[in-house]
Amino acid sequence: MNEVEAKPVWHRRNLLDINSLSREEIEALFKTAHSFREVSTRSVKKVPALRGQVVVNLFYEPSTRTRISFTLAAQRLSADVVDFIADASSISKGETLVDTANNIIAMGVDTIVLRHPAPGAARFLASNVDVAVVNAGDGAHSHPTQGLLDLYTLLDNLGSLEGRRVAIVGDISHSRVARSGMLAFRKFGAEVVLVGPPTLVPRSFSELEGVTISHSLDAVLGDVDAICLLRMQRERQGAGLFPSLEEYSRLFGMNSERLQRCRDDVLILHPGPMNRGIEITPDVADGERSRVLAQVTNGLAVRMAVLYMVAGGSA
Amino acid sequence: MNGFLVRGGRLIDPAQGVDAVCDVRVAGGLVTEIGSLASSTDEVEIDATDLIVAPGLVDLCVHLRDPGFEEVETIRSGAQAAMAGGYTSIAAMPDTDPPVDNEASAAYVALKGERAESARVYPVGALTHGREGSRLSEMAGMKRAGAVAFSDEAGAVERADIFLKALRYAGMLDRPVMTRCEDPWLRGQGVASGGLTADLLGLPAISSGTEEVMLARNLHLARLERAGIHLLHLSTRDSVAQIQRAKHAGVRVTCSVTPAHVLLSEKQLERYDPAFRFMPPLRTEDDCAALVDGLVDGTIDAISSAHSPRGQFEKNLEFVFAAPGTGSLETTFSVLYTWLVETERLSISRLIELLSTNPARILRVPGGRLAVGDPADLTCFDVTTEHRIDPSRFLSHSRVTPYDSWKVRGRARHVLVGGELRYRDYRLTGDDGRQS
Repeated sequence: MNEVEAKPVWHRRNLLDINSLSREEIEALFKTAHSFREVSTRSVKKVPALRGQVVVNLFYEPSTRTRISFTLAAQRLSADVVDFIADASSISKGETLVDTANNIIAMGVDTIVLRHPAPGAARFLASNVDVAVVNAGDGAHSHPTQGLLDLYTLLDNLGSLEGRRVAIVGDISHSRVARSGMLAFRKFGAEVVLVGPPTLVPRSFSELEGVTISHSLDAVLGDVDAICLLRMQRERQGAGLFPSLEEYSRLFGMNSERLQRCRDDVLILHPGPMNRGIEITPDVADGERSRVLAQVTNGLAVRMAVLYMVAGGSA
Repeated sequence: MNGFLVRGGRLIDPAQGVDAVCDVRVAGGLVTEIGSLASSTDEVEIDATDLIVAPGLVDLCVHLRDPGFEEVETIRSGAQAAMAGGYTSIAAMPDTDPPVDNEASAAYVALKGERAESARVYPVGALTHGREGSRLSEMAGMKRAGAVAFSDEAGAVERADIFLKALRYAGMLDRPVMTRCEDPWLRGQGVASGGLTADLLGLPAISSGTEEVMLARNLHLARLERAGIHLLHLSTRDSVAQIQRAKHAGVRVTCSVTPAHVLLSEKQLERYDPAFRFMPPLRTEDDCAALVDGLVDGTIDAISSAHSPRGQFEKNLEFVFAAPGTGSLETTFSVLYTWLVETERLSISRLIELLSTNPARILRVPGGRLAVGDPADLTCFDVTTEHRIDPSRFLSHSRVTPYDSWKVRGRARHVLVGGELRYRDYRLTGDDGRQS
């Protein structure tokens, strides 16, 4: 009788969102990320896993940190990396997304990392091309590697999320980070409370099991294990969704006074870039409860694991 | 050759309350005899055994993109697609470039329609100049050129004062005003029905209120003005309830829905397939159920294909950038027959009423009835053979459809328009049956 082999759980050639991932797939991914995290601490920060492969960062939105994180992740796996930065205005006027992608693919590419302002753009691209597609943020829909790195950071600090409570604070409506975090934390058993003004929190999310909505940050402070703050985009003020940054900051900004009313071991997360003084004060951002830089470090390991897994590597 | 004898079909004519196997004689462009008829030597016999014989379908809202977007559809290709869908009359909306807002452009549509020698094509004139919603168009001139109705489709007149004046002025011409109900400010950049599905997908939402607020306004204005009004593309449960109340209160309102809003729901958006992008957006399954109830109980008067041909270049895009709507003249009868009649949610007679009798009445055009002396606008439907919807065989130039590869029954086999056999055995007869 043959020995039963451990079946690989990950078969995906794409990473498009959080929702379609199973908990087992995420665990397999994190196992890989864990071993890659160690690579970054070596003096020679490189493994040959993706040697000879080409990864393209196809970015239709300005993003420095996500792009650099993916670039370093690919380079540490020995892949070649090319950036294709498209002007946002080229979307409506110029070449279609599928045409652009096909042009890049014609040059011999294995993985496309796509950042795009249209929700569903990554899934749309994946159904039109046959290279691996990794979603690096598609409109307000999903930013799966961000959700995964937030989850990874929480698990790293808390061990387990069963019975834990995580607040996500800010502009939930327009945030792919909020959606990705919410869905990822739920998969690992955490309760999620979404906090923000009613103009920026979709009421429908309270229909999801384990998700509640609060319009008072003060009311949830003492009750949560972690607080994920979101970047407040100034243009939402122009759209009439809240009256002023001052008022937003007074109601929903994290500061040391509020931190004192939290549990001692609360974790503060922020996907960056931070608006210091708006959603987070500098003392909190740089304080001992902040895990902002750990998120960045973990993000690199998670993205290495994602690029490795979609290329066919196993945990 | 003088005419045709349509032999042995099941004649369904809701206007006369007829549902019986019989023969129909057609001569001189008219129905001349109905019953058990003896053959005559100077006519062509059409074997309609096992087919449904019905008044040709009438669509009160199609977009033919001509003039201005002929690379997407032409009046000719649209009228031919109508034949393939079993339609004998279609009303072409004015959202062309230039828009149909004057006598000459209405005459152009009517003339090109005639030359297509397919379904009858009636122009619908714009309510306001340039469809801009600020001043009235020359409706009398357009009526002279053949316009059967007025509408600023594919939009709504935003300003209540202008819309009121348009209703008042069109009333003088005794022609229906048709409008969709959509508040442009509530719609904003929205692309999907408001609710959990859209919120999870990160798609900007169009709340049901976007429609219901404007619907309420339009019903109030119609009541104030005692004017007749036709409301297009209803999509929500509350819209149906509002119409029901307005009808009971004596408002002269009729309304229609599209097959997509009856059969498809927002659940279909999860793959972000642009074929499912519609305006108004696909709503919830509960809304679909309310529309079916409205079709059954008579609150909803008609079904329009809302044929909106789209080129690949404007449709095969990211969901939020894709143009809303799809071509649908060639799929409407099939999908409705399969998903409403075969599932016994709607009788075949009621379906014909919704697709032919009522729209003909609303537009006050010939057709929609097959009594002796009526124009012979007649379609024979094959409802027994199963087929797969195959966009590559569409006569419309637009090949995008949400029903790609669906297995359906119910398909036009022969179509007579004004007593001429223009579509026979699933093919156009005009150019030697060549599919164009």
